[in-house]
Amino acid sequence: MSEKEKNVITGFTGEFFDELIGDTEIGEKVRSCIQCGTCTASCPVAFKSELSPREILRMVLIGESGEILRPEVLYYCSACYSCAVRCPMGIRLTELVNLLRDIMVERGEGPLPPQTEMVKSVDNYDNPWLLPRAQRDRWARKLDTRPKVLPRKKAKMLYYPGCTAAYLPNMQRVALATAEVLERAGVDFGIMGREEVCCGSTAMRVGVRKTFIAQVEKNTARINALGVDSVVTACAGCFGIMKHEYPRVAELQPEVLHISEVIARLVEEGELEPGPITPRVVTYHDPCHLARHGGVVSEPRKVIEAIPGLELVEMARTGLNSRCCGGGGGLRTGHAGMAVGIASLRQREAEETGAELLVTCCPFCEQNLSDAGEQDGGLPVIDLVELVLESMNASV
Amino acid sequence: MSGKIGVYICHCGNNIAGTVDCRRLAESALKLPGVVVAREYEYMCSDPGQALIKADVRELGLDRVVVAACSPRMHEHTFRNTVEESGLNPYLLEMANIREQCSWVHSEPVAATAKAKSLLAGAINKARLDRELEPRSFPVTEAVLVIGAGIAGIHAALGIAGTGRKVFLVEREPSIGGHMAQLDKTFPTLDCSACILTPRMVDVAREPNIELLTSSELVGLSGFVGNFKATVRSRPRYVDASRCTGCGDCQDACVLAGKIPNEFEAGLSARSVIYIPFPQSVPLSASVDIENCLMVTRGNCSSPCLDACGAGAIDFDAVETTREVEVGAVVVATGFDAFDASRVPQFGYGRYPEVLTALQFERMLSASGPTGGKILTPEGREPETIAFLHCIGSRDENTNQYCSRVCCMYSMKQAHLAREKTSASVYEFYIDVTAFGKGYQEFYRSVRDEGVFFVRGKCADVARVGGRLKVFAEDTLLGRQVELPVDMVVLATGLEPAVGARKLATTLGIPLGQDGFFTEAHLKLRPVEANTAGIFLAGCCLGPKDIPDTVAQAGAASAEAIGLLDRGEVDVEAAVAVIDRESCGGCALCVTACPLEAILLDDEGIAVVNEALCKGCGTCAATCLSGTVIMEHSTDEQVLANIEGILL
Ligand SMILES: Cc1cc2nc3c(=O)[nH]c(=O)nc-3n(C[C@H](O)[C@H](O)[C@H](O)COP(=O)(O)OP(=O)(O)OC[C@H]3O[C@@H](n4cnc5c(N)ncnc54)[C@H](O)[C@@H]3O)c2cc1C
Repeated sequence: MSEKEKNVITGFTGEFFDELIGDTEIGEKVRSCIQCGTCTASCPVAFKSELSPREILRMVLIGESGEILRPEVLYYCSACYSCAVRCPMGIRLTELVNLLRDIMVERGEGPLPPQTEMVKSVDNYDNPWLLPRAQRDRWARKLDTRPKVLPRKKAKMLYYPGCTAAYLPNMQRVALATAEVLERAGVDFGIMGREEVCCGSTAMRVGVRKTFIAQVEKNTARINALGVDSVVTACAGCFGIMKHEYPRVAELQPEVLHISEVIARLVEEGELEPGPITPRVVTYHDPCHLARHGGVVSEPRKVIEAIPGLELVEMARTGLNSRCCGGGGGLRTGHAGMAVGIASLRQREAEETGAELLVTCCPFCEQNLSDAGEQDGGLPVIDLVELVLESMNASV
Repeated sequence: MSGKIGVYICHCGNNIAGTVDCRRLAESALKLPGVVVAREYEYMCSDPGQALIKADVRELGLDRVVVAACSPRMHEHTFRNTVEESGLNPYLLEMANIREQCSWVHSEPVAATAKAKSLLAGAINKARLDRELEPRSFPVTEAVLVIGAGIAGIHAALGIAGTGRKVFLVEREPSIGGHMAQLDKTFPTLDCSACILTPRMVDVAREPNIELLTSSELVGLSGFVGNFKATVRSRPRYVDASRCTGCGDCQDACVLAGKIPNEFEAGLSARSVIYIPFPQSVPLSASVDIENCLMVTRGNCSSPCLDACGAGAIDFDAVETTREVEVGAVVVATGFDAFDASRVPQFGYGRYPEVLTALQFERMLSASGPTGGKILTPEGREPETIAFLHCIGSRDENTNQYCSRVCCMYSMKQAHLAREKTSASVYEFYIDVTAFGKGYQEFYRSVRDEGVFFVRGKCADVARVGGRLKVFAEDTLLGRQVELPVDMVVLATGLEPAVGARKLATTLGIPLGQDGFFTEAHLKLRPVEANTAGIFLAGCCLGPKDIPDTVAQAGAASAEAIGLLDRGEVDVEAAVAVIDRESCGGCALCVTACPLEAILLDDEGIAVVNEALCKGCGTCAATCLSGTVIMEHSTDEQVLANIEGILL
């Protein structure tokens, strides 16, 4: 503390704010902040970061760019949108932090080394996992019925597994389960095979705008050319980004859907009939990017409730008020230990419900919550689609 | 046709002259046929400005006056008076709106001046065709309708009735009293609410000039200032209030006793279907809850209440009644309803029984409330920690943007009473403390001094984690996160417009603001008048406020209503629709178009206008296909002349 003395404020107008923030869609509302602290109190990482969200916002307003445009300050946000949905002044603080990351990266600082590696991988291989393009469709070989590959064949729906479910061995079961569920429910769908590229979320969240825009452009061009009515994904991250961030850059013509929306509709229309499975009490963790960013809260619950044998109990914080697992926003990549620590807090809330199984539908939440379970104990984690598949198997 | 027109251009300080070149405007007007004088002045509406006009009318013998200034909504009345005082018929005045429609919305002076010239030329062109019209007046009905009987309606009704006028007091609930009846003690003086309200309620019951219509609502209003016809519908109480002694025996006998959430106790206890709302109810009579009564909804119930009633007051054959009353003025005092806390689930209302709304806590404090005035957790013990959370449903873009004005004060009052009644630690989580009234800062200070702990930060959520109910917030003064274990949480829920306000606004034909509350004709200068003459507003139906402000407004509204009745007659618009009987084909398009039901077809099938009802809106004239309906002061010729002047 003695080394870094606090600056005396000698003025309250900031060129930084006026020129870079004030006129942006997000920045317009920053002046209305009443410093009520709702953001900080809602923030899963505030207790760790040097500056709280509220302080960051105040510093932005008075133009203290030097204090905030530092990786040590800006790379804690897990992009959970809790502050954004609760802010009484309607300030989208998550997006403001993202904008600050963009500016900082533009100025040559950040992202953190492991994050940079991921972004480079996206630049070079179209996925963050440093794996070759040729392996993107390997997961599908394990299926009995191989899905159609678009655009050679035509289909109404594109299933977009996203990089995590397509590549990571422990996550491929989500892709497999999704394809099988769609297939058996008689949905006319296909995949893009090796032509699929990363949605760009990884780059966008850590502030590498250039890479993000390149991915949006590739994806919109390729997907628009497929002639599908909808794109469905089982990844909350891809979903939130494609649904809400793509339109700010380029038009993605097909409707973007999350798999839980599709399954809920299939169940409602009688196309998919879940059978009874081993009775279990389950609780559901809302992925931030599905619920708060994506706006999907009721569909996953409808699906769970439609499966005979499952009893859903809610955690203390659910739906739009759900607590972040810490896996998003580049936090798991940048500060892995911390991300898992936050997931442990969520695991405690899950345990308190008395449930025996923790259901979610985002590969990031799933990995992070599982890691926390291994480290500090907690409930086993399962993806919603896997439960659906289990119940379909039971019904035949 | 006119021969001598005077033109008067107002600078409105810099409002007009800052953008429009008024000198050039005057010069251009002088060139138009018939204009004998064109003057500009800083403030035309001021006395010296008006004197200019008067002098010219007299000395130059003007027969038309055109004022280029603000909107006619603002000052047409002023200048009509000026013209009338100088001996001309007031309808020979014409206004050109070069402020709202020109200088305020344009910044480029040359173009703005050109537009002002066009607007002025149009007005001058029309003025030439203006005809003299005679203002008419009608007698005022000496009675007032007051809607809503909370403290605002009660105070207004008593004030008006005290001058000997008849008041119809319409209350939706079975008893009068409103929210004040639910309160325990009132800030900042901590006088007991019932002790100050009950005598006023009893006064209402005793006042011969007040006719009280409970379980009733306004369903129609026609007529105009001084001469309204109001239709009031009354639900059956199924209990004859004049025979009911208020003994309460029927309540105990009811088969659904203890099954229906008691709204007076804010849901903290349950009541029967036939019930006396609260011990001080006026009228002190039981009433049947139509929605839940088995006899009413299904027609089958052993109806033990009938046997229990010694007075024979219960009558299930009673029916809904509708009656029409004639009044000269209307006072709206429908108050507020509390914000529904389940709309913000993060605060745990409805999920954790320890989380209460402020009204529930108010009932808990009350000695006549469900706990007999004891503060008790759901397990029935005294809480050790209580947190009051401010701004729930107020000052929030996700719910209501406005400040509810009373929550800071009532929270501090409740905190004070909680400290008085228990040994609990008491916390107030606040953003800013709104304590603006007389004695309020002093009260705030004393509550702090007593040891209520203030945390500057809005609560983010309330959750049971680690087995304990906790309040999560930030202490923004220290920049630290707060996780406070508590035994009880009280939500300072904001005030919203009373349920049904929108429907009532439509019935009355008056607007609501964006926030859903009724709007006053002018926030500062006409704070208790609606935009429709003869309708007045008071209390929380205009926006959240405390009892002192509510009562002050109710007094003001009653004084305005009394003033109107005192005048004895009202002037009504002279520019009304007239029918050319020769050309009317009796198609009745105008009859359906008229929003005020002022046009009917007579025995011969020809349209006739009720001049008393006509407001001169012109809808009929615009609808008429044969040019039969002539809108005085906006005849086709006059409107075309106006347009022609603008275009030339
Ligand atoms: C928890 C709480 C504590 C408070 N504590 C204090 C305090 O300590 N001190 C203080 O000064 N103020 C306090 N207030 C504020 C106080 O309650 C209000 O200022 C006061 O009640 C306003 O009176 P009103 O007559 O305008 O409205 P209300 O009390 O709401 O009365 C309106 C009446 O109109 C009726 N009505 C509504 N719609 C219709 C309709 N369409 N037709 C017919 N009738 C209708 C209602 O049934 C009701 O009887 C508190 C408020 C709350 C919520």
